[in-house]
Amino acid sequence: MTLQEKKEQIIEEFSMFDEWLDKYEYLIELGKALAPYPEEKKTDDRLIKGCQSRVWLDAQMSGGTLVFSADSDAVITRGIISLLVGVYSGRTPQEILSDDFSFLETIGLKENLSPTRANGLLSMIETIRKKASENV
Amino acid sequence: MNIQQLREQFPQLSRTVYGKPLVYLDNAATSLRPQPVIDKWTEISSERTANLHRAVHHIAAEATEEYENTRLKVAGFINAPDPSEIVFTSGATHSLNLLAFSLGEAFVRQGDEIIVSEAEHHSNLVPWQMLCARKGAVLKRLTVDDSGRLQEELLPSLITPRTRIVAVAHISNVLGLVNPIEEIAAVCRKNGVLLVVDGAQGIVHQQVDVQALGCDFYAFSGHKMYASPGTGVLWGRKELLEQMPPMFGGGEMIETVSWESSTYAPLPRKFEAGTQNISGTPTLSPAIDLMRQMPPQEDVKEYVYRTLTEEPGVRLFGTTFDLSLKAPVFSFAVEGAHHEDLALILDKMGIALRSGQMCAEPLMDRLGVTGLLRASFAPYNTLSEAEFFVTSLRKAISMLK
Repeated sequence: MTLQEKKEQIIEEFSMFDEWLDKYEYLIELGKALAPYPEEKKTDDRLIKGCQSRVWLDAQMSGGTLVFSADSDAVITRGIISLLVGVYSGRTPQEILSDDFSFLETIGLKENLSPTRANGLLSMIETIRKKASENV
Repeated sequence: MNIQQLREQFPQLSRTVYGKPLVYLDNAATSLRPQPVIDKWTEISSERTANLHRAVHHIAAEATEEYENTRLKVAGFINAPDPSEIVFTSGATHSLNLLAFSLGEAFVRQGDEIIVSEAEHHSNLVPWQMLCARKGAVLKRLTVDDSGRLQEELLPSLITPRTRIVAVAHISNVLGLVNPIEEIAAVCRKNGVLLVVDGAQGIVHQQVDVQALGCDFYAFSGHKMYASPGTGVLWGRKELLEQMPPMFGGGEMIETVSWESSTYAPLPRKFEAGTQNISGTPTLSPAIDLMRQMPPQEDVKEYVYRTLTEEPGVRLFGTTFDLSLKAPVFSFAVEGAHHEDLALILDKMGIALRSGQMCAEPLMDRLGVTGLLRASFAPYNTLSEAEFFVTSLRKAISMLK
């Protein structure tokens, strides 16, 4: 699935929910389903700053693409990072850098989870972009 | 005044979030503003704006009178023996920084000791750390037990001939427990140590009498006691304030200025440099008037305390056998649910409360948590709001399980 197709799939999934609590239920499910993240990778250099919960993000280059894995001690945040990993993992750094991350606004995440609420969505995006620019 | 009449005074209580009625339970962070406070600010801004004390014109005299009457009212509210002991500041943080600087300059030398409780808000810790770094003084810790209770019985053994200052909160912003200030003050007095009390929460939930408390300084903010943000008070004993140098130099705080040096104005103006919060500070007056009429809220406090202590999976910190020593500030952890998740879900249900470290990271470390959820109630919060909070909390927990 291309980056564009993946984003469209998520937008469609979120469009099924009218209520914000339903979106949260979905994010919680995603959070619970996130692939296990190795304990030894929960290091300070992988910790994303600016989040109220702790969020770790690991990035590895593999065959020209960036492979992300991540974890958080809060499940909604884990759901959000799971969305981001699902969309951006396995993409080339160039693909990531040319994306504007606007699908997060389309599904209502950005307005509802703005940085002023200290959940660090922007910090997560910045970290993903930083990893991409380091590996161009 | 009954609770319904009280609620009518607070316009923000009638607003909605996400189409649901707002249930505001973040009062320990900042309280809402009542109409008389909003009106006072508007009245001064639209009719009585002038700088204080110096000008001869009519409006300046009115503005000065308004400001000085507020000082008299605040002095009466906390039973200060002399209104000149009331220093207006921008808030408790400003008051405590001013103290840590000016008190430090006057009384703290290299190798002296300052004792601070482990349960303090950063505002009553960081300024003392800064003082210790500046003077080469030693910061000592007065610990809390596993439930968060201050171990004041350890204080006498911490005090040495080098101890100069003890700094504690009247009521912890996380635990809501009322610390035994009178007893701590007696120990301090016996040992010739100064006692600084952070009253940011205490002023809201206790009838404060600074003479009965026996402390040397008492600091608080206006914005937590329904007055305008950017207002605050530092009360201190006159003989101590007189010995302390000012922290800020500038307008209003001087007596005479020559090119070489200056002499300072008498109290309290020595500590009130620059243009004061001329619209904000007088709002302390209507806030105090309203506080004096507020109905008690024991039923809400007892209900929330009982429910949270009995709720499976919920761990409430700051428990006590005597609820008269507990403010309606409830910080708790939920087994298997992160505080941030709970706060996000409760927000969508219209409930505003706090999650995280609540500006008390050392206390979080001591309690062994990365953060907590805090619901803090004001007298305008009804029992049905408290019940809605409990039902919503249960729903949020079940979503996360």
